[in-house]
Amino acid sequence: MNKKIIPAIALLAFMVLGCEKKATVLPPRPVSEEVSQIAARYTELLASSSNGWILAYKPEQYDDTVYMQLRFQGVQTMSILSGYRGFHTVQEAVTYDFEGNYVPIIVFPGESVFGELAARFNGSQKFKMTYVENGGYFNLVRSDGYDNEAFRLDPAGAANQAKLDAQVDAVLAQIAHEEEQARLAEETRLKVKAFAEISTDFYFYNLITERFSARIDALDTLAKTISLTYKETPASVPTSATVTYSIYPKGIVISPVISYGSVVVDSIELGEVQEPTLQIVKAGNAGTGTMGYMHEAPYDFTLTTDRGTSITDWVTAPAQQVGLFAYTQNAEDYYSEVVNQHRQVFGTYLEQHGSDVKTDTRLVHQLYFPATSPTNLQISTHRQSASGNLFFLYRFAMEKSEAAASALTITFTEPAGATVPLKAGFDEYFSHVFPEEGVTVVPVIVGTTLRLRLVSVKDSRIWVEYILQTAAHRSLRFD
Amino acid sequence: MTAYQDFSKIAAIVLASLLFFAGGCQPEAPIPYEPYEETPPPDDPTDLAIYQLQKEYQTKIIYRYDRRYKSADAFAVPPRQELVLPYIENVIRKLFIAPYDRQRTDFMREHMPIEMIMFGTSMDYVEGGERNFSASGLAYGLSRVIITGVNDYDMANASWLRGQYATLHHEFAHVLDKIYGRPIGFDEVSKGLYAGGTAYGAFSQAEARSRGFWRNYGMTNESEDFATWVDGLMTTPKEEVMEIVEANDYLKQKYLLVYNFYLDKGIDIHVLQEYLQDILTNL
Repeated sequence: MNKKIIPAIALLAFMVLGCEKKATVLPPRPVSEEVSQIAARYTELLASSSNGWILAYKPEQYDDTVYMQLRFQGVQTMSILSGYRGFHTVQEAVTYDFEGNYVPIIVFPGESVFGELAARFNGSQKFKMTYVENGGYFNLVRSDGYDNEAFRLDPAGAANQAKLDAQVDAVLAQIAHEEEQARLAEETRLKVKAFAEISTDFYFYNLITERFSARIDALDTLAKTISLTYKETPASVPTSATVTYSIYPKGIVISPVISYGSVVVDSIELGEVQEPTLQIVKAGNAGTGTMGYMHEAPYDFTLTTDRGTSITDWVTAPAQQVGLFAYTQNAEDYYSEVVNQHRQVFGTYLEQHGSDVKTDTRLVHQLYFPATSPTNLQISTHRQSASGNLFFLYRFAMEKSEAAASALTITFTEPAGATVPLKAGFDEYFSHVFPEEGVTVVPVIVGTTLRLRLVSVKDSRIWVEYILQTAAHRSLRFD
Repeated sequence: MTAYQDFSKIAAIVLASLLFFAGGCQPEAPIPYEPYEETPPPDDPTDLAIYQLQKEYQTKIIYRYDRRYKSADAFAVPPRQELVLPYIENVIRKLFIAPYDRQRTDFMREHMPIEMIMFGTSMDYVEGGERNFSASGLAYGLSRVIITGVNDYDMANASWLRGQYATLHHEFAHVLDKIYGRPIGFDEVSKGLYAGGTAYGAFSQAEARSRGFWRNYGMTNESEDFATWVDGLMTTPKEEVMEIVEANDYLKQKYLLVYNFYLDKGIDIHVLQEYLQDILTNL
C-alpha cells in the first residue's frame, strides 16, 4: 500500500510546487561605507531625542499633512504614533533600515503608516535623509526622485506634539462620531423595518407632509425601494415613481430625488414610529408630516377627462340629480368587514323593531339624488311575510368637505315614513357609515366599470361600495 | 705647493661656485590658494529645478537653444520656457527617474545621461542621408539625450504622454547599451534578418515580428533593435508581451535577453511598465 501512496504524494507535491508563483529576486541593495558612517551618526542622533521626533509628512495624493511621532529606540527599531486613522495608536517594534550609495536613505517597513500612505496616496517608504546642522532637524525627500519636496523631521516639542495630538484627537472623535452615526443608522433601519411590518385595515397608505402628499404603492425593504403616486398640483395627472432609498443616521436618502416646482424631496428624516404611522421630521424641503396607514386620501381624485373636476365636484353636481344615483347589493363584498358587523346589528334591530322586515337576504343602500326633492338614502330590505321589498327613507344634506381630500359630509336630516319610528337604529347605524367627519369618495374599478366607495374619514376600515345607476357613468375614470 | 694649500684652493673654488649659483636663483612666489566657491542656487524656479537635478543626479538639463545641439540639416525649435519646469517635474522626474529609482536605489544617480537637451518640436531632417525623417528623440553615446516635442506638453493628453515616455526610455536604452553593451547573444538572434540596404519602412509589422523585431524600426540596426524592444516592453502589459513573444523563437530569445538585462541591474521592466501605465490610467 505504501508503494502506492508515496508516488501519489510525490505527484501531489510536484503539482502544488508547480503551481507556485516564482517571485523575482532582485539583487541586494548596497550601502556604501561612507553612507554607513553617516547613517550610524544619524542613528545616534535619532535615538538621542528622548521624546522622539515629529515628522510632518504629506503624501502626494493626500490632502493634509500627517504628523507622526517616531521614537527611535536603538539600531533599526522604533515606534510610530501617527495622526492617520488606523495608525493612531502607538505601533511598537517597527524596524527601519538605511540604504544608499551617496546619501543615507531611511527605509520604513510596508507594515506601517508609511506603507499605507505609499500604497493609497502615492507616498513613499524610502526617504533621502539629510541633517541640517544649524537647525537641528532632518530633511526627508522621497528617494525615487518623483519630486523634490522636503519634509521636516524635528525633535518632538510642545508645538509639533500639539499638532500630532490634535490629529489623533480628531481621528478618535471621528471614530466616535461614526460609531454614533452607525448606532443611529441602525436605529433608523429598525424604524423602517418596524414601519414596514405594520399591518392594519386602514384604507389609505400615504406619505403626507406640509407640501408633499403621496400614496405609498409599495415599500420593499429587501430591494430598498419605495413606490409613490403623487400630484404636483390638485389638477395634475398623478405621477408614479419608484425610488431607491438608503439609510443614513437620521433617516433615508432617496434616489432619484423627487423634484417639481419648488418641492424637493431628497431625503426623509424620520421621527418615532407611532403605529400605524411613522413621523416625518423633515422631507427634503417639503416640511414635516407622517407616513403610514391613514383614514384620509392623499389628494383629490379628479376626472381624467377634465382635471379641473374633482370626484366630489362631480358627485355633487346638478347633473347627477337624476333620481337613483347609486346603490349596493346584499353581498358582503360591497361592505367592509367592520360595516358588515354593523349591518348585522342594524339588520337585527330592524327585524326586531320594524314591521315585516327581513334583512338576511336583503339589506342594501340606495342613494337618491332627485331633482326636486331632498337627497336621501333608502335602506331596502325584503319583506318577512311575502315577496317584495321594503324601503326606509332618510333625507340628508350633502356638501364637499374642506377638511379632507375627496371628502363629503353627509348630514342626515329627516327620516320619512316607516323610518320615523326606527330613527334611533338608523342614526346609530349611520353614525358609523356616515360619520360627522365625512366620507371619502374613492373611485374603484371593478372589471371595466367605475364604482364608488364611501370611506369613513373617521375610521377608514368602514366603507361601502356603490354601483352607479347610470351606465354612462360607469365608464368614467377618476384618479 | 703643499697638500694643505691644494685643499684650500679647491675649497675656495667650490665655495665661489656655490656662491655664484646661489646668487643666480630668483625665489619664485607661491601660487595663492583660492578656495572653490560653489555656484549659489539660482533664483529662477526653472533653473533651480535644473540645478537641483544636477546636484542630485549629476545630469544637466539644457533648454536654451543652441544650434550645435542639432545637425546642420535638421530643423527644430526651442522649448517654450514656461513648459520646461512642468516638463521636468512631471515627465523627467515622475515618468523617467522615478520608475527606475523606485525599484533600485541610486540607479539614476549612476546612469542618468550627462546632458539632456530639450527641443520644442521633433527634429526634422530635410536633407542628407536622413532626408524626410523626423526624430522624436536622439541619444549620443552615454552622455547626451535629445528630448523633443516639449511644446506639446499636456499632461491630460495620454497619447502625447505615452509617446514622451516611450521615447525617453528608448533613448535611455541606448545609454545603457553604451554603458554595458547589449546582452551577449542579442545581436546574433536576428543576424542576417535586419533591413540592411532596404528602408525599414518597407517591412510590415508582421514581417518584422517574424524576424524577431519588436517593430520594423528596430530592423535599422542592432542598437535600434535593442532600444525598440525596451520601449515596446515598457509600453505593453506583461500579458500582451507574453502572447507576442510566444509567436516565434526569435522573439522569445530577445525578450528573455532584454528582460534579464534590466533585471540584472535591479529593474523589473514589467513592474516599470505597470507604474507608467498606472499614471497614464489615472490622468
